[in-house]
Amino acid sequence: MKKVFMALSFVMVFSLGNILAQTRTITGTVTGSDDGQPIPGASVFVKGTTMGTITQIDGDYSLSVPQDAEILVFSFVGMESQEQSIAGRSVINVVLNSSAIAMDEVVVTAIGITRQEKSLGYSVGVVNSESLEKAREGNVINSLSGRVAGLNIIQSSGTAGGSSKVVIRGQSSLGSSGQPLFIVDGMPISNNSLSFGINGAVDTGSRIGDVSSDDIASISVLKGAAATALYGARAKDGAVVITTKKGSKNSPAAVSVNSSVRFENPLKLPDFQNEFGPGPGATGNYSMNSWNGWGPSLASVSDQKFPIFTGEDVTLKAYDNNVKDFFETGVTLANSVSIAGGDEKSDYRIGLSSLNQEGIIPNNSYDRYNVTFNGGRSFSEKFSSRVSFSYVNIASEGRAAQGSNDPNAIISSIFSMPRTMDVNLLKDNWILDGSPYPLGSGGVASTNNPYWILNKNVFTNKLDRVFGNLVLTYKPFKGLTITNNAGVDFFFDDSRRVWAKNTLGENKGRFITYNQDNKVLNNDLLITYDYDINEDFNLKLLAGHNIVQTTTELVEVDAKDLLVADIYSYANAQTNSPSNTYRQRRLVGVFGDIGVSYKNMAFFNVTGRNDWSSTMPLSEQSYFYPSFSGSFVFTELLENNRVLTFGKLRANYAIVGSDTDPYQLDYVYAPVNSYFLQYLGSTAGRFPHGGLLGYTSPGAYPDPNLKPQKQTGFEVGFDLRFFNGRINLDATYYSNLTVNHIALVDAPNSTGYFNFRKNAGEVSNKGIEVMLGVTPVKVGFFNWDVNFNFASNKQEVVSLDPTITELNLTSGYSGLQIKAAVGEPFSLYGIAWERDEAGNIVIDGTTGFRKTQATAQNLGKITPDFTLGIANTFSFKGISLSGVLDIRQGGVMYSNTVSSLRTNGVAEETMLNGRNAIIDKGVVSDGNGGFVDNTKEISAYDYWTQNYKTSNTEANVFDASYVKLREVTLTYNLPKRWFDQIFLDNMSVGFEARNLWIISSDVPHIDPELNFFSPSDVGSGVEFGSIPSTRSYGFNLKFSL
Amino acid sequence: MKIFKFTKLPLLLWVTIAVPFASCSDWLDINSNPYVANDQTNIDPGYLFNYAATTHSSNRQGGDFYIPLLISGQTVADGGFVDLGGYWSESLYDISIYSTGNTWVTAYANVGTNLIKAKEFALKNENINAIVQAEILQAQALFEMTMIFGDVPFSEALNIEEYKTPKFDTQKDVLDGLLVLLDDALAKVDLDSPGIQQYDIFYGGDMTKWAKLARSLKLKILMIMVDKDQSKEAAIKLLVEDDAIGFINEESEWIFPFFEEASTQNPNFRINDRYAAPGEYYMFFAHNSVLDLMKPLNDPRLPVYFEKGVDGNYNGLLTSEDVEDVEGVYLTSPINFQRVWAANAPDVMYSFSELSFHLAEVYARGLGVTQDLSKAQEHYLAGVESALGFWQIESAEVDAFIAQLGDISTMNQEDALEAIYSQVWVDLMLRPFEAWVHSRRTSFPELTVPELAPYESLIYRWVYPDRERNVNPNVPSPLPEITDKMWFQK
Repeated sequence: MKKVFMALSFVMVFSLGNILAQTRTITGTVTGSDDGQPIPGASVFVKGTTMGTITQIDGDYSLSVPQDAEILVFSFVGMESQEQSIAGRSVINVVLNSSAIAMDEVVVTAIGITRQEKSLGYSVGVVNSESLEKAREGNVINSLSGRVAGLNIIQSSGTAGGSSKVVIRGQSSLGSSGQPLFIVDGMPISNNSLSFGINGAVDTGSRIGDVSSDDIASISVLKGAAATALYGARAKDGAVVITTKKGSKNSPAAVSVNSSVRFENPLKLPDFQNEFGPGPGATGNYSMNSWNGWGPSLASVSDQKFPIFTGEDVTLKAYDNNVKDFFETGVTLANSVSIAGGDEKSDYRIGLSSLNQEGIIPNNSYDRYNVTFNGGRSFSEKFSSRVSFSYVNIASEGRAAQGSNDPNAIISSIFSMPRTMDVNLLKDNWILDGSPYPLGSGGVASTNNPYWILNKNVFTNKLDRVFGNLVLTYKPFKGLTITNNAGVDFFFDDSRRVWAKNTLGENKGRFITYNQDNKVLNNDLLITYDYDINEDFNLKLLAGHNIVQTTTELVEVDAKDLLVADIYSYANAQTNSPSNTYRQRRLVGVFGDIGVSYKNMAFFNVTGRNDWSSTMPLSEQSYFYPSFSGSFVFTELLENNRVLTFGKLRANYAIVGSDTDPYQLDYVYAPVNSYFLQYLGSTAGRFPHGGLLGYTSPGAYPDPNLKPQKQTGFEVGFDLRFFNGRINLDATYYSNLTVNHIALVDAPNSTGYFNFRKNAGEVSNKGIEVMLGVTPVKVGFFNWDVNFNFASNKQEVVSLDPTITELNLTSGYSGLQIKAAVGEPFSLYGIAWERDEAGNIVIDGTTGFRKTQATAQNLGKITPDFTLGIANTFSFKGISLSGVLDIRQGGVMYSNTVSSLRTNGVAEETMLNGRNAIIDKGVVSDGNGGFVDNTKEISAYDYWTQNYKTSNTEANVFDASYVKLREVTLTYNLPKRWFDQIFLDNMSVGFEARNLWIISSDVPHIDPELNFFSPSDVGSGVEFGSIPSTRSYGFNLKFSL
Repeated sequence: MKIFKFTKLPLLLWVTIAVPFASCSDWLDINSNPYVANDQTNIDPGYLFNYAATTHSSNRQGGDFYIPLLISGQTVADGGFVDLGGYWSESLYDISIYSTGNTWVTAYANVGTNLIKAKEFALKNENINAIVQAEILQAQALFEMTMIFGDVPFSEALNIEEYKTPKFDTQKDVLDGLLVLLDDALAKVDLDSPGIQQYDIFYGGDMTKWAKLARSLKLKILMIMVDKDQSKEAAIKLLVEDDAIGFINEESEWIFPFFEEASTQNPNFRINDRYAAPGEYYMFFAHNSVLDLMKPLNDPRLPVYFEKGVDGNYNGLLTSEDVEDVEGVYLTSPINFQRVWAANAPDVMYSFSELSFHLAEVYARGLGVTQDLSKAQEHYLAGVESALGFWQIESAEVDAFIAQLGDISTMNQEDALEAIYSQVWVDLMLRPFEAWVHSRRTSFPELTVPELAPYESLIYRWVYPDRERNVNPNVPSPLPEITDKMWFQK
């Protein structure tokens, strides 16, 4: 490998002088016929080649073309594309006619191949820069929510710089989290996220969030196996292909500035009761040692004084907004400046962007800086190169711990704070003699003042990342293109969790550092040949070769018992327990694609790829998989149909094979430095113990003869455009079956193992995706567009290993699990109520408490029945107002926050029946096999604490459906004449808002989208002390010079 | 400058393809983790043995095993469900699936498999004594399984190549199998050479101590079986009267140490250290079943075990009863957790006092041997002295205490046994597994079902863990209830 890279750079350096003067440059401006405004982002390319560029914000372009180039093609979303003969011209200005359809839209597909959309036999979701730049998200991937059918974005928390899980067309895998492959300019980049498990789970962000949205020209979402077939195994769960912005040749340096300020607050906070103070519950007496709402009614003790944690005696009163006041207004400053341009041989773009965010949790910040460079150079008519490069620097602090079993997990203690607690008092009295200010004795003696956690136990994270690639293109003769794309993605992540000395629960002080070193090397060699067989038939051939190497090394040091407080040096710790893990995998692939087209009307492609993976057994290292796809533009046969302007049918069939993780085949003995201890954590016990180390055999019994996992996909669809694009309808039906899942199958522990690692099970995902675009009004300068974006996926576990009927995918606390069971979609399992035949809850006649079933039951699937995004855009001259509605129907979620609010007596509904005794609705056994209505009265305290406790899973499971106003943006492109006389080229101002409003939801107290599993876990749909998600709104100013 | 013509580019591209291909299989041959060992690496069996020993005792002392047994077994009170109490739902016999699951997993996976593998490496290195050491620890782990769950996989367990779903053996077969395992170990042991040495955290490779232990474990098992299987009387006689190797003594108690160093402390210490606050918040309290035996004798262990209530007395509770307080200050005596669960409090797996009380019972009942109350008294006294000695009670106090105790050689058998059992119960207060075995075997002391527990009888077993039930079709059906007696119980 090394040799090859060196040779290639040798070529680049020593050949610059030889290859000038065989191209010429064409410049010009692209404007729209409707309003005469320039069109930024329109694509301009030489017909019959992939040589092209896109227009700048002022509609200008500059393109270096070969001497023999004849025709330029101009296209833009919503415009009819246009061909122009070059005919010796060096300036070609073009006015595009609006068609509101994109019959000749060019999209980026697998391996960076640009193709006309109409030639594709599969559906591709495309999002262009315009929608990404408007309501800028810290994590760019969140902007895709509601915009691409079949793409499900699951945001984890309201942590600044938080992570998002991306699932395309339903989860297909039993053994992996099913994240798509992310590609930037042809280079696959890591979307790793560091997961600390569920105890004190910190949302460390997902790496795709490192990409700055201002650098992105477009994102293609490749959904089916046929779309991703050329990427092979890595893209079995789909691919998100990002193309970054480039400069244009022959254009003077243009500076663009995009600046926004955004404010954030919690989208939804719980509804609290404000009538009862804290107390031990059974008695209804006040106790300052209780951290709940089970004390006396405030009205009944208004004439008395009680001690509080500061030692004062006060009259109790409710602080209605104490939880709200805990959260701060988050502020995000997003700024970017770019300079782009080029001469006749070269183009360049340099971008600088910063994102500085203060979160809603006190002391939580996230600062990201991106430097990007994208430059192309034509050395000769035949030989050109392009370098794309990004450096990312991130520093974040104070990402809060979620989940449980960690003194730093604070959300549940914030939410269950007594209603009589003045949060400002808590804030001002958090430290006493170097220890957490005691909140009392008794039950709260082991609770830290949350401000101690926030001020002292600050999670820190630093990241440096470089990714980029070098593309060399050689065109020895017309039709033949040879491209080599070599890229790297290196990052170094340095995170630290801290428990300051005197923290209750870790009173001697502790810190853990995690240093993750990640290196990906990728090389793609592509040879394409484009040949017109005759006037009607065109042949496109592609042969490619790919090598990838991924290396990850994690070094973790757990330092305990600090000598001096607040000094996080290993040498300041009595014991240091280091551990290191290393993983390396390699993959070699060869692939080919044969495409035939007839008269721009019928297109057919066959692809094949063979992979050799280092992670599979020798006999199974090599695996081949083909794909077939075709499209037919049947309107070409109809003459001048004014109703149906464009119509296309498409179909495909594909197989994708995939490997597994490294080092899964051998029986090994691992040195271990930690072991699990109940109530103390998964790595609480440490070796050496008394100076002695330990080795252990594996928990999973390996199968040295694993077979590659295989996914078979079938897809049909159509794309219809009526009335010259006023109505567009695009629909897809797909059916995927994944077999030979490589999964961990539970073994009886009496065998001495936890699991067998083997090929086990089949999962099917079938679904439809419909996109409907309508322009109901188009009068003069006024335009109203509506886009509907519907997806429904039906998942079913078809079969599992014969030894099991269900497979545990992910575990939460207290028996909660995400499971795959035969005949069902992935579902949430847990303790359910016992019910009679009529479905009534059975109540224990003696205790008055609900009875539960002995074994875990299916409490609902975690995925929705369907999702629907509705985007409305109104535009009038330079003003544009748009909004996106996001609808989810079906599926369930589990909320521990709700459980904790209820069992602690702070939720509003605990005022049920005025806190008087309650007769729970249900039936009791009549002793003869029948049931009668329950008549047993129980106290409000017993009712809420017994029935809604964490372990009663069903009590805390809710329908996760919602309707949300996801995004509203208002932009105004200031008329050019206003600043014709000054140096500005154009300017726009805007208002942007995201996650504005939960219009409807059945989940009380919290955002139904919260999820505390990390993107690397298989499950979702579980929330456990999660940081509330945020609503954001802000202003944006964009101009170019 | 025309060193490199573009006509050479195809050649270069060919190289790009060829380089990885030429050595494709070598280039891909990287699928072995450099940071782990495999069967070809010669691992000292001690490394696996130490992992087994450490995880075993850490579970025995932690929140999955110790606390549930402590609370449901009624040697220590939970303090109910009030702010000042412990919130242990185990008081109502609600044993969490993590307790059952992790205890099962520890015995079979963490301990079982690693000891099997340690034995394989020992055999490879012809270190027969290492096999003996592994087998004795294996016997203890499986003994705990059958005493907690009843019928458990034994003959087909820990042999995944042969048995993917091991069958469940009856408790009698398991206990008999353990006796055979221990006899095999004793037959193999070479007292003159060491086995695992440095990595034997118990005895440092002293095989005589291991042999004593194997014999003592045999006695413990025989005592459990003898009331159901009279043939075991002869075995007891044989064991007690053959004195060549003997039983464990104060120098060879089976103790797993914990240390002051972070993360190697006793898990019970760490749980209290994290969640409780001395003088302010406690999770464990004096239980009347123990206090009632200690107070009349003014047992010198009282201030070791308990803190005084606000009234200056030792006040106990029954299981699930609420803690009593006076204006937020404890009236009920909390367990003196800083003393009894110190950072370096060891996991006592077999003490000399425990053995002595067994021998006292053997002679008091005449099990196999001729009944001999004087011999019983000798062992009884040795047991009491050792039990007090464990807590470093001053010798004057020990003497004063013993002076108050009746001489069982002068008692009838019933009173003698009650005296022995009483001292066992007090001695085992902080060893809940052994205490639970004792109370089920002897029905002493008479315990009552906790007031709020939804059961008619005491808890006698744990239910099989979820995973085993889900994937092993050999799990007994119908599932035994937690209140079903085990085979060994009267």
